[in-house]
Amino acid sequence: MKISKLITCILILSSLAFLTSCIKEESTTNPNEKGSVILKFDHKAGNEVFAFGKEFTNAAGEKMKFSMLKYYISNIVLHQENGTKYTVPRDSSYFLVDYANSVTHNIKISNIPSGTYTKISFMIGVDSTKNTEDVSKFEGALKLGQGMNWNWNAGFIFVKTEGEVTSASVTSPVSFKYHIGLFGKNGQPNNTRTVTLASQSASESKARVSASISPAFHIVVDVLGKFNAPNIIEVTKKPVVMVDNASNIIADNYAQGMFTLDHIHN
Amino acid sequence: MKFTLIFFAILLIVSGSMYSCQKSDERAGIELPAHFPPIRQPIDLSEITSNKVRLGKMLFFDPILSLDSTIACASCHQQEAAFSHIDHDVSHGIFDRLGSRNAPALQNLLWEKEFFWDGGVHHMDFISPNPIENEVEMGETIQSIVRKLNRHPRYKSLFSEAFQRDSIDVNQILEVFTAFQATLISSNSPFDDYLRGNTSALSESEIQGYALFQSKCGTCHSGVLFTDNSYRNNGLTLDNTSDVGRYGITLKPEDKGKFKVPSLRNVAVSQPYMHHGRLSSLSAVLEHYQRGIKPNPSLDNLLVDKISMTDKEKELIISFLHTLTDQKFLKNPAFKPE
Ligand code: HEC
Ligand code: HEC
Repeated sequence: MKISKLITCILILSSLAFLTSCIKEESTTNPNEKGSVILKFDHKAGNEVFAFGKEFTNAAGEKMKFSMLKYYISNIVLHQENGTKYTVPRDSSYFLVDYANSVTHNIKISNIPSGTYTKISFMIGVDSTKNTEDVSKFEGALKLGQGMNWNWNAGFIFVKTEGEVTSASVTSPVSFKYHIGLFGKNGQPNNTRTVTLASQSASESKARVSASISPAFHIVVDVLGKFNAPNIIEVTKKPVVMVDNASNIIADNYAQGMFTLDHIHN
Repeated sequence: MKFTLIFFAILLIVSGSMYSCQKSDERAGIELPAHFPPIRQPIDLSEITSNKVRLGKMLFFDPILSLDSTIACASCHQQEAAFSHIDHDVSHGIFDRLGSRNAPALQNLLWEKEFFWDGGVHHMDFISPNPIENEVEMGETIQSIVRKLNRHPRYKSLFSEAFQRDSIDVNQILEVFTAFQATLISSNSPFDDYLRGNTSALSESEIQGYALFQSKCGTCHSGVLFTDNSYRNNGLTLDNTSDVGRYGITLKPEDKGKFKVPSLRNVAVSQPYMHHGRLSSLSAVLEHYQRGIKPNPSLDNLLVDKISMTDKEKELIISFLHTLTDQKFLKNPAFKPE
């Protein structure tokens, strides 16, 4: 009895889904052509290719080895040459980039009006509105249980790095954990940051979005930027930063020192 | 063409059973007491169905949530103590590990702004991962609970009935906890009868105790829920270093050693008291406010001169506090395991 009910419910649901997809297909015949773009995140440490377990020297002269790197990218907006903007719909605008899972290094965004795009902006982290919604709104990249949220101080972690560090004076490796989050509740710092990036390359600076071309934005992520610029962090002096006022200057670092748009590929 | 015909035929046949598949999932019908203020949690009560409440209750009593299957939520939150932990100063979890705070009563959670002694959780949905993933409480991970429940035939079928989905996910688990915890409403103590107009529900001396309570304690323990929802320091320690309390959440130095003003409903059955559980009786609590308050940098202004009370007045206040015991809540069969 119950199983048959369930099956009928599922049937209904799937037939409804089928029905709505039919409707959608019809509406794409309208004159506004749509295309897609891909955001490619390339990880580096300074000028070197980034990898877990590889040793890098930060601006404070310390040697760092990473074993974890994850961050949220959200609230993506694409800017056209003529000033028009395309805001990715809220429900499909949260992405978790996990260095350990290369599939997540490429983010595909579809349904973009065709045109010539020259800039992209996005938030590093998860906005306060989303942070305070109920659990039914935490789907996909936001599903709990991915090690990207705090329970006791409920909220998302935005940029999470872990590994080992040594310095001239601290010669045996100290493990570091920089879990930066906080969205401004209860007077805590707000560590969400929005960056707007234009291409560094004069010749490859425009994305020509159309139904037949899906341009790629090549974004270089300098992992050491989180520790280097504009604020030089001495990680051995403070190997753990989580729910801490000191997280605020690290957020300034990931806003200013971590992400650049290297070029755009058509 | 043929396909669409068949499609609509199927649609017609199955739409008849749609009504019945919703009906099996009726609303829990949570009633809000008329003499309470509006709820503070942003929760849509119409989405709480009896199937979800039932599942939340099953999980609340099921040690499947702990690493070694020995500890359930109900191990630390017992109904006869208004879902606090009888005779435990701090919580006692898996492998006999001890936590650092006292398990509070669970009641009228819909009216709370934030949860836990330091208020670190702003929405009811995000309560349950705390004990589940706390290594001294249940020591599990929410993902492992998802796997365990998906392997469990009974939970699997009940969840799919409640959510109309094939598999159980984190969101569903957190939602059913919210559903059950939303039903924990205590509003039937003698004091509530009194507020509803039954003037003989309280004795002469209990009414005197109420007046004294309002003047001496009522600024912080205010309203029908006996809390102003603020965070304060009531002078339990000299230096606030053993537990920084609210400071851990706001990161403001002036919040060191401040804790949520707790509701005092069912307080006579939820001993021991305070965030550290070190005051074992109501007379010890009154003694504390009268003589034991320790000066410290965060101490609340209202308590700098302690609270002056005669022994008789203390007795009257305690007799009033006993009128907040809600036997219906403590014995409600709806909160017992099936
Ligand atoms: C090992 C004992 C233990 C277990 C098991 C336990 N709790 Fe608790 N609970 C506590 C303690 C201790 C606190 C107070 C912690 C704090 O404030 O930091 C608490 C606080 C709470 C609160 C906050 C109440 C308020 O008004 O702020 C809720 C709700 C709660 N627990 C629900 C649950 C649920 C649901 C479960 C099962 C998933 C559970 N607890 C399992 C000990 C426990
Ligand atoms: C300045 C505000 C303030 C005043 C006045 C005050 N309290 Fe409290 N009360 C608190 C706070 C804050 C706590 C929690 C403290 C902690 O655990 O760190 C508390 C805790 C309690 C508890 C423990 C409840 C539990 O579940 O553990 C009781 C009982 C209590 N108060 C009774 C009283 C009585 C009776 C009076 C009047 C004689 C009074 N309070 C006056 C702020 C106040």
